[in-house]
Amino acid sequence: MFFVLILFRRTISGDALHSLRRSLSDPDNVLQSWDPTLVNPCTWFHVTCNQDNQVTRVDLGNSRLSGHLVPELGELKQLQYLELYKNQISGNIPEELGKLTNLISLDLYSNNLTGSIPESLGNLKSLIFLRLNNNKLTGQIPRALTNIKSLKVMDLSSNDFCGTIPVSGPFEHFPMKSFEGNPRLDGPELLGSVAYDSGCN
Amino acid sequence: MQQRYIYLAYGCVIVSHVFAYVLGSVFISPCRKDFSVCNHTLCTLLSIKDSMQDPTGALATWNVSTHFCTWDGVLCSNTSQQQQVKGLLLDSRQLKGALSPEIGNLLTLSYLNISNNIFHGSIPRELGKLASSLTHLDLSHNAFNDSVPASLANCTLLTFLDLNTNFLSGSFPEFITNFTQLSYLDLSSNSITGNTPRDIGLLSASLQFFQLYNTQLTGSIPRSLMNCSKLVWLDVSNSLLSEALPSDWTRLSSTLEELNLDNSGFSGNVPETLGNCTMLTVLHLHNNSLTGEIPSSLGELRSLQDLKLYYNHLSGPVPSSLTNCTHLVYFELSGNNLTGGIPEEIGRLSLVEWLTFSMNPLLEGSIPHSIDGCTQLRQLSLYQTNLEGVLPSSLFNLSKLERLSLEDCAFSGRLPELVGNLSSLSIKLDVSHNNFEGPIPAGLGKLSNLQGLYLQGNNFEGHLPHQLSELRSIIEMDVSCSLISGTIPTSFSRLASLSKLYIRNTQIAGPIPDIFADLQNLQVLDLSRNMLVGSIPQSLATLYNLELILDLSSNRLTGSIPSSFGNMVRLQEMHLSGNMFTGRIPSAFGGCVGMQILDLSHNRLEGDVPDALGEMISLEHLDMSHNRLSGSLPSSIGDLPKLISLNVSYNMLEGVIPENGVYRTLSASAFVGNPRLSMDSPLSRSRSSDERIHWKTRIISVLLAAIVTLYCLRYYMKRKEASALDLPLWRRVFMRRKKAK
Repeated sequence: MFFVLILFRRTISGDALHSLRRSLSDPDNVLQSWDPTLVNPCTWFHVTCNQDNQVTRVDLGNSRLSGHLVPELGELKQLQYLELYKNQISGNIPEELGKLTNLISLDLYSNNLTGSIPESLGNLKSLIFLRLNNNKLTGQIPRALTNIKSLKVMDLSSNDFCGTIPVSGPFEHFPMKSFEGNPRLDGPELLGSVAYDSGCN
Repeated sequence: MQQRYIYLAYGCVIVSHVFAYVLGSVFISPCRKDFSVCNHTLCTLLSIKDSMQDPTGALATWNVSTHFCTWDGVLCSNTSQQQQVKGLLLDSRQLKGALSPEIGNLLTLSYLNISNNIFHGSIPRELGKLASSLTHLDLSHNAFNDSVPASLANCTLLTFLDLNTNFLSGSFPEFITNFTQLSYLDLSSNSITGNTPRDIGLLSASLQFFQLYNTQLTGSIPRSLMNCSKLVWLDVSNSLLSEALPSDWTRLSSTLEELNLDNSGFSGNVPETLGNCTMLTVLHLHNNSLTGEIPSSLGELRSLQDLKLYYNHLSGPVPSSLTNCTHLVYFELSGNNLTGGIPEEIGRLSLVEWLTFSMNPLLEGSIPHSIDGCTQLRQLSLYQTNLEGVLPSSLFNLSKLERLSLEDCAFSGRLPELVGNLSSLSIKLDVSHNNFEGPIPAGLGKLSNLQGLYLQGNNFEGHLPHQLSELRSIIEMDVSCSLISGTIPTSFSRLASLSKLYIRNTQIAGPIPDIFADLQNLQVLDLSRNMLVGSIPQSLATLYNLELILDLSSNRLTGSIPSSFGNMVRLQEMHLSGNMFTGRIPSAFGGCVGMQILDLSHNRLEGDVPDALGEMISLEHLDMSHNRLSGSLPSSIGDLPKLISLNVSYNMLEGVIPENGVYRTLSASAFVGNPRLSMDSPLSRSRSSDERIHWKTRIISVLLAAIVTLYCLRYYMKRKEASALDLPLWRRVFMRRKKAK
């Protein structure tokens, strides 16, 4: 165990963020301070840590970044705020983000993300803010999201979702404008003895 | 005669059939689907193609309409009449699927490169059939799994073997030590386990490149490797290798150029004989457990460009001989136990770009004056050392310096105006936690690319220069020095990219300036422990994007808490304690669904504790103690899902403490100092062990009262008797009744 501690003098969170850096294209050099040889990433700009040197925030909104997200983001176990909005990031939302059980805010809005919302995001039991609007996401809105009782702010507008809109749990309170701009999205799910879900063709 | 013609006819028929068969098999129907029977080169190649998926059409030319020697990626020998496939070069074509066992039928194949595709499954053991031809095998950057097939041992003519970045498992294939012509070996980035090959020295006549990084190999570097006198490149980094390094590198001295042994568990000393390897350009020993001193023989490595010894347990001085390595670009010794000082002649390293001696707590002395000889210096890291003294003015000639980290040392003297000459400073300037004194230089304002400025924990005095507002790239600024005075410059409104601002624990006075309208990137505003007066300015009250921390505690602020604070939906912490805020706690705080800590203690707040605080679903710590709050405690707070601590002590609260949720877990100290707050509820009585003692004292005091009452009654009655008997009263009281004898 002592041996392993010596070996991993770099931290898991530093490695995870370094994987993100390698996967992104950064024309404005906002990641210039992301030095992988430092003991932990807590002195990097746009990264915030708690008192135990665990990463709690990544703030890279509006930074002209392109490239992809990486599954290693799921290793940031104390992450609370993941702010990657208003960039040109493409590719899928990695399902590994579902491991971030301390996540309070997931802001991926205004990018070029494709694919569907991973079901695993239903595991984000602390999530309050979920904003995925203005992307090219498809597929159904996962019903697993209705289990997140803390969800207060959700915006899925301006994407290409299909199927019906959930109506239970936190979805009871979301205004319709959270879902507008999805031409293939049918209306709210009609609940009765059989849940009506047209699915996606 | 007729018989002859018959024989001729038969002969013609037979010959024509044979001819037709040959022609037919070549041109008409070359391959039936049952490829296993057909061993013709054409069939083999088509069979290999058939077992792959080719999404980009890289193998579009692989069809029967042209000769296979013209196909993309097929290399034929052009000497013999009968065309033979000599090589297949199919790298980086996004090919998927298996490598067909048919590959073993290309018996003239000498060169096979399918690197950087998505081949999976096992490496076909049929490759072993190519023993008499295969010299170059590159399967790197694919998804092959399972172990290296044992049949590959037959391919003893191999000069180049590259299997890196696959999912190969099993142990190191020892048979490689029989490949006496092997020049290039790379098995890196696989899951190979077990020991390193002990007899690798058998390849001493040929081996030039030996790469086993990023594996799970354990044990030590094989000693016989030191016999490989042609070795140019050795990389066994990022492994589980441990134990001491081989001690004698002399036989590798004329060829070794790159040595990567980093990020493993190597122990023992840095071998002195490495100093003989004068061709070395890269020496990576960082992130190990090496001990002992840095050998001064390393000063002989005149070609060395990259020396990384950081994160070990090295002791002793930095050898001054290292200043002879004038080609050094990276010189990194941080995270050790080095003693002594920075070599005086450090300026001889005119090409060095990264110089790091940080995290060597015993390193002492001052920065040598020759430092400006390092004209290419981009990063200078000296933090967490015992370095001291005044900064040499030559330091400020380093016009390419991008990051200067001097924090947590013992530097003293002034920070001169010359600091403005470091025009390339971009990442950070950190001089925090030293003994600097004098004014904060206005020259800092010239650093227009600077993103991080850290001056805190020094004896800087005087005012904050308004030129600091010219730092147009600044993201983080900390000027928390206890002797700084004056006011916060209003020109700070220009710091549009500012994300974190710390002005803590200073003598700064005056109002909080109304500058926040353009500071839309601000996440942390910490102005605590100053002498700020006045009320919260409008632009701060409406800074709704503030996301992380607002700390105005321990000042002299007045006025009321703006209800617009309720729009700071994502703010995580708000500290307003130790001021003179008046008025009510805004119920708008209920909108702060992201807030984890709210500290309003030690103010003059009055009115009720709003019910709406029960909507702050992220709240973990709530302190409203030492105020003038009245009314009763709302039960909604008890139901907050994440609340750990609540303090409402020393207020004027009344009514009964609710008993739901968090309220059950709190001790009496959370409520003390509220004289009209009822502690009589059953829950209050059982709140802590104090209550049990209280219960006991009640019983005892009741008993005592009863005893005293009884004696008083007797006293009264005895007094009546005493007045009849003329005995002192006290004797009557204690007199036993002896009457009835």
